[in-house]
Amino acid sequence: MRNPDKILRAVTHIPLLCIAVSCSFLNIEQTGKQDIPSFFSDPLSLEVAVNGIYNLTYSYYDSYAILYPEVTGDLLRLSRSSASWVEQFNFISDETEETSPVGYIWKDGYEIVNNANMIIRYGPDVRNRYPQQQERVDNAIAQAYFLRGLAELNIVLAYSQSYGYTEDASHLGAVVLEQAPSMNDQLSRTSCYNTYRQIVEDISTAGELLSDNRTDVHYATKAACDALLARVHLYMGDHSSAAAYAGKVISDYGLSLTPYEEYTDMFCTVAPGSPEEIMRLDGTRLATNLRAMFDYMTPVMYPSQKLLDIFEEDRNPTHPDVRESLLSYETVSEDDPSETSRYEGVCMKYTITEEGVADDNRHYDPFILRLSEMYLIRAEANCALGSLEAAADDIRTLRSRATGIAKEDVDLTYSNAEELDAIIQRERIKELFLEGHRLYDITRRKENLERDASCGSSVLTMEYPDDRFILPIPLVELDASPLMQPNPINATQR
Amino acid sequence: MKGKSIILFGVACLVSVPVRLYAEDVGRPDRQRVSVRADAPHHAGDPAGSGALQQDNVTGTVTDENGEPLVGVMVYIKGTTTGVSTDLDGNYSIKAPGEGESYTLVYQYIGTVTREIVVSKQRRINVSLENDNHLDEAVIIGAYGTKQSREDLIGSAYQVNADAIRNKPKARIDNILEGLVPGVRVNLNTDDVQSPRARYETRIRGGASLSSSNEPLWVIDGVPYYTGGTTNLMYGVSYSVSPLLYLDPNNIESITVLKDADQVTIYGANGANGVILVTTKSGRENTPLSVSATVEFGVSAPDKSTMFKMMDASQYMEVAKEAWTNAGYSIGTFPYQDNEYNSYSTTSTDWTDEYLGIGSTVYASLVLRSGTKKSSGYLSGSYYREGSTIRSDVSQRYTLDAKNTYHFTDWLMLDTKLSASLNDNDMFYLTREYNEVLPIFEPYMPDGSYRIYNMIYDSISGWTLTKFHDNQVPGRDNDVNDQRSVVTTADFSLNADIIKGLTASAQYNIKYQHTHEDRYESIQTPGGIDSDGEPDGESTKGDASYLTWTAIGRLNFDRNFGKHRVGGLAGIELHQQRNRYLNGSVSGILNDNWQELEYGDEETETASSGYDIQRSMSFFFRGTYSYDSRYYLSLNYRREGNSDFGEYSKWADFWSVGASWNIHNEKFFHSEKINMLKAKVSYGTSGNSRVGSSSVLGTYNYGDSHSYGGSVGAVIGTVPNPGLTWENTTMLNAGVRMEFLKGRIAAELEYYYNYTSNMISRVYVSRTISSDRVYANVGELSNRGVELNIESDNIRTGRFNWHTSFNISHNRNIIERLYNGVSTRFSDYTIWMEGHDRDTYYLVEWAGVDPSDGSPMWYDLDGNLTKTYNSANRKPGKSASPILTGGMINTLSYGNWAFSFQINFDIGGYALPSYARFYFRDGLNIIDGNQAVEVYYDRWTTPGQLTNFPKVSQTSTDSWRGSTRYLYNRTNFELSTVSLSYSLPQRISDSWGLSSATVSLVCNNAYLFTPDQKRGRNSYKTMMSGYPVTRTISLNFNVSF
Repeated sequence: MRNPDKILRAVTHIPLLCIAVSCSFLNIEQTGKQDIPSFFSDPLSLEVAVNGIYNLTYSYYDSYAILYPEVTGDLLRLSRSSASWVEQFNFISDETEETSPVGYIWKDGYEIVNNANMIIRYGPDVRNRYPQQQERVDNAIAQAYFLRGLAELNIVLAYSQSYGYTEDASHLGAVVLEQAPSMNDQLSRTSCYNTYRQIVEDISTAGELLSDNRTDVHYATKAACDALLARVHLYMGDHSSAAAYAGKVISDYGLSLTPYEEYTDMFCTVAPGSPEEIMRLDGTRLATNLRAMFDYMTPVMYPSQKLLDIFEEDRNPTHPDVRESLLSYETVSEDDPSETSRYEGVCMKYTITEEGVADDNRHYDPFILRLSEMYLIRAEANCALGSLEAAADDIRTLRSRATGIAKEDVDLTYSNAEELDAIIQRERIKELFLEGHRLYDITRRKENLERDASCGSSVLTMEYPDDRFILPIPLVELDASPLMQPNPINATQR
Repeated sequence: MKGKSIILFGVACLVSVPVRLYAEDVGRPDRQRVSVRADAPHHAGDPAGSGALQQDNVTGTVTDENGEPLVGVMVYIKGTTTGVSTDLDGNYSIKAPGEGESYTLVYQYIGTVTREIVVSKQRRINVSLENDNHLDEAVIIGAYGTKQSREDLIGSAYQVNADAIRNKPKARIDNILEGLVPGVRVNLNTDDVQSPRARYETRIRGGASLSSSNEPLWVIDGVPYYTGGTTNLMYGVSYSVSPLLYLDPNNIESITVLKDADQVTIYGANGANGVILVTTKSGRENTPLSVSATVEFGVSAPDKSTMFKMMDASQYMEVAKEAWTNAGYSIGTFPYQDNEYNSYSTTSTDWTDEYLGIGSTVYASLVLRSGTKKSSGYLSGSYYREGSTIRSDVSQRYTLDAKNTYHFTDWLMLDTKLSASLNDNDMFYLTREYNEVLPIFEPYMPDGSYRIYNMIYDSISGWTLTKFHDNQVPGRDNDVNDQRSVVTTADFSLNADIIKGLTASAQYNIKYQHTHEDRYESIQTPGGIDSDGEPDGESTKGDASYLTWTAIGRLNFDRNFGKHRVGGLAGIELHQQRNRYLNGSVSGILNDNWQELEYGDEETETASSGYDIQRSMSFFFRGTYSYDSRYYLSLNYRREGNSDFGEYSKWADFWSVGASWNIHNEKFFHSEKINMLKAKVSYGTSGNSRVGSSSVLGTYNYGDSHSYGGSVGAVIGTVPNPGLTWENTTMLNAGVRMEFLKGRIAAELEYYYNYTSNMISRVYVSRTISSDRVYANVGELSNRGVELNIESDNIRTGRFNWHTSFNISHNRNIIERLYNGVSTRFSDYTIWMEGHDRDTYYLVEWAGVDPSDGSPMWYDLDGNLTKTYNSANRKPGKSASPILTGGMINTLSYGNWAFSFQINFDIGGYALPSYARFYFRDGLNIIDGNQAVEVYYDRWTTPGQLTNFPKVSQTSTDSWRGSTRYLYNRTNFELSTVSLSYSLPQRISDSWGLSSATVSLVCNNAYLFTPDQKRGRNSYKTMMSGYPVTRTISLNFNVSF
């Protein structure tokens, strides 16, 4: 036995063992790769992520969020040559349409929700690390809450029957995600009641976190939170809250209706800074899909005859309605100023006609909220609550602005609440046409869809209720989530 | 941390217990028994000192070089069946033939040189056997320094020795295995042209995964070797050149392919696709200096019969005009009408002649080996140059390898290995356009300058000078596409014999590869000038580095205790792989001599960089036990942690058990004909960790495309997936090995069933989780099959010998389970579906051509004929997996001459060749590119004509879309290597002072046969690869002294 040797030999392995047990060996940093925990390191990263969500939200509003409720409503005529939106226009949406609005409204909506969830999850850590920048961090978190609520609202409106479909709103709503789900979570839809409750909570949280000095209309503000709450409560049939929130927006934030002369500029010029803007999405250097859809020279989508007729019937030759001017366009030839071309029956809400704007800066900023809607919400809510005069007063305000007639001279005749309600709805159509409201106005009020015969759809009338008022849940989602509940219109039933 | 310490302590204890218990025993480490033939009388250890020797017995002691007794040495009388084996003290006693006769005693022991002693009267003969470091064919190199005789093998390991690959091309070490190893397939990873250096995919017993790597783990001299990402793609360079090209195949002593759980579990995380162990040559102790020089000259040429056949100029003109008018255009607007710039009607260019030609290979190497009592050395230098059959494409390799062994004391030894390899790949990326460029164009202008434009008629803009982008001749001559790699490896291994049978080793290995890439698009090419005809060269420079280090500490134990033999292995391994790259490019370069980045247009400058790191840490253990060379048991365990996985699944455990039974060593077994009958079985698990590293934590994408209001934005790229963990493959292997007629025929049959669970795949999860597919452990997949290998000495006379080696295997792959049972598609033509092969085609069924109007027809899902192509009519059908694959090598030798040929084959399975889809397009866009000859010969022209090729049209119908029309049976036989060698007779070489001299004539890729081949037409044979097969004939000289 060679004892000293043995010891020596045993020692050979000790250094290696030491290396092996060093506990951090497998925890390495992947620099150059933006893994999520290392990405959210400071307030700036939160703001960059907020921009990312707004980019997604813009894309959402530049297409599905605005077009879906209009294509399925009664104010739009679809070009016969259009390849997209046909199924929605004719209410034959199929669950397999992954690359159509059926798939995209769901998928893109939840992409917004998921991105927002990342900020909501990592934001508080950043706040703890940068206490002196709390306002900045809170603002980013607030934006995330607001956008999450907004996206959930769009999803629940498209895939679920309206809030009042059942007495207690216990029918199926959307999937509510209060935090980023994990791969192994088995997800399913909750009730409409819970979905709306979550939406209200998200928007309220955003409102609480936002500070008063944040007034950029391209981001969520306190005013935007209240305005969106007004809309959500109207959708929920909570008229007193709706009226209260709308009233608060009208009186508390220094907003005013865009004057008659500036009304078209609000849509057709770049960054007009109109006084009634509450929130609109900044389209700088982003896609212009809506413009392509409503392009006055080669439109895919036209205002329906029903919409044109409403303006036609109400036309006052001495006081033309400024809103009707957004339904036609006249161009003057550059070569010969006397030569003009006139395009009738087109929607000009998404086309910049301002002269002297560089081509790469011709962006329109789609509206999420504007003050006119608040007047309409307050009028509808007050009418339902029995305050007819208050309701009529708001309508007079809007009409006065739209026609230039002094408010006290606006002629508004009604003998009961129903008549006034009808007037309010007609005003709503004239004010908000093709801005992404129509289907939801019909279904939340449990009205029937009635289209004019010339609109070109195979479905001209649809009585409320009807399963086709909502989209099928995409098949890819049902395949991936065994617990996900389909809609009655889905071919897949479980 | 406590856990790891405990494991370490445990491993140490496990190893040390047997050490203490049996420290007093004698025995011989690193020695293994070759058993005595069953029909020989078994001598049960009669002690030599008892004095009870019979008078007619020869007795003695067998020892090794150091005088230690050897146990189990086979001693027999040559030419008889009389034999015994030595006992625990190395003693033997064998009955001698009658008095006065002289006879020869043979002493055989594994790992030593066999000795023959002529005996006449001696009765006591003590023999010392010398170590034989040269690998005997029966010794199988295993994981972590283990060596086993084939008889002792429990698992499935197949070894290819240096002799078998000597005449293979010296280009790379993976594709030389094709056809040699049962159950191993080596194929190009695409049948299209996608890179100037084709990537190969190696599959051992089928693909065990869907989205993770299906490549085996390469281990070179004990250390994992980086061969690129999951599909062998190299990180950070434009074109992947496999690191397997950087090694000199001449340095390989053996390649062992490990296939079952008993063998691969010890490699844990990356063993599921099999392990390929490469052992390089080394010096031998106690040998004088030997020098071996090899020179090989080869010429190569494309095998024209494998070239895809396109229409010639007149055929093209006829079909193009017909397709033009059939599409409803007036012939007056036909684009290719003669004009002063192009005379289309008289031009007929065979473009393949422009690009393909005669290639050459040169290989030279010099190897020096020597050894003293304390040290041994191996030094090799080699040069390899291959001029491809694609003109202007040259690769060169310079290698230097030095291996040294030094004994500091009788128990402490140092192994070092230093190697360097310099590789220069001066590439020309000949794109697929070499096939489709129109034969009515020519590469040069009448004055000999490059043709950059063609004058083409266009009905809207009239005659137009159009850039001739498909002309690759100017690019071939002037572009730069050069990749230079330096690979250096340093390996140090310290080995200590602690006590008899127990060895400790510490190995440390660093490998660094640096690749520099120069790419330049010349201003002489159509792409290097802008639309105004001004020079606009583009230059790209890139650097990539790959640093791998590995540290292994282990204890090996092997010892006999009477009839019991105990072996073991325990160790730890740390491994790190770090890749980086930096890349910059610029365009707007005005002069071909100004290729540096600063000479370009600043506004076009771009730069990028990347970094990727992975670490793993493992603890492993292997224990073996055998009794009396009859019963064998093994147990393997590995615990491995990998930095790529999430917090909750960083660590995984793998284990296996195996057993084998040497029936021929049983007393009850008596057979004259069968001298070996062995049954074996193993069962266990292995893993697969090779997925991208960002899959666990999730990533954010940052950039202008996510901006808002003009400010930069970021969105989720991949969602976090903390539960992602290893794929787990359960492997069952069972086999029988038989040897007949004194080993002249050996057959081995194996059955395996491998089941992968927790399979990583990219799947759609709920859209509420991620809008994109995510990596998740979701599916299950199985591979089962049988492999048969036969070695036979058909004729064995003194001068004439004929040896055949044949293997055949069958594999069946089934996707057992997918996420929620939902079928998934990642390509337009294949589908992953439960119950089907992973390579199942998903196509519309082709119904031929309507004879009345020449329009294509398909079947819909109900089996009705339809003339409208609808992808909804696709259904799962045939599979790409062959039913049988294998190879056969015949070697015939007569005197000093040897002739050998190898045939590889695939039988069954279907291919959907890219070229069929690209070039059987029935006139669609024929104005832009040439099409296959079949479109000329077989196109429908007259009503009533029965054909499979529809009426041609420039705006053709959907006939080209994915359908069963393009499925080809992939049965093929390849005569891969044919060689004829002549060795100088011993007396001549001796008189010249040489120890050996050999000259060989070798033909590689000699001939390819497919049943559907037809002269002048296309068949599967012409569509197997993007370029035609390169046939090489080389003359090889080898001299040793």
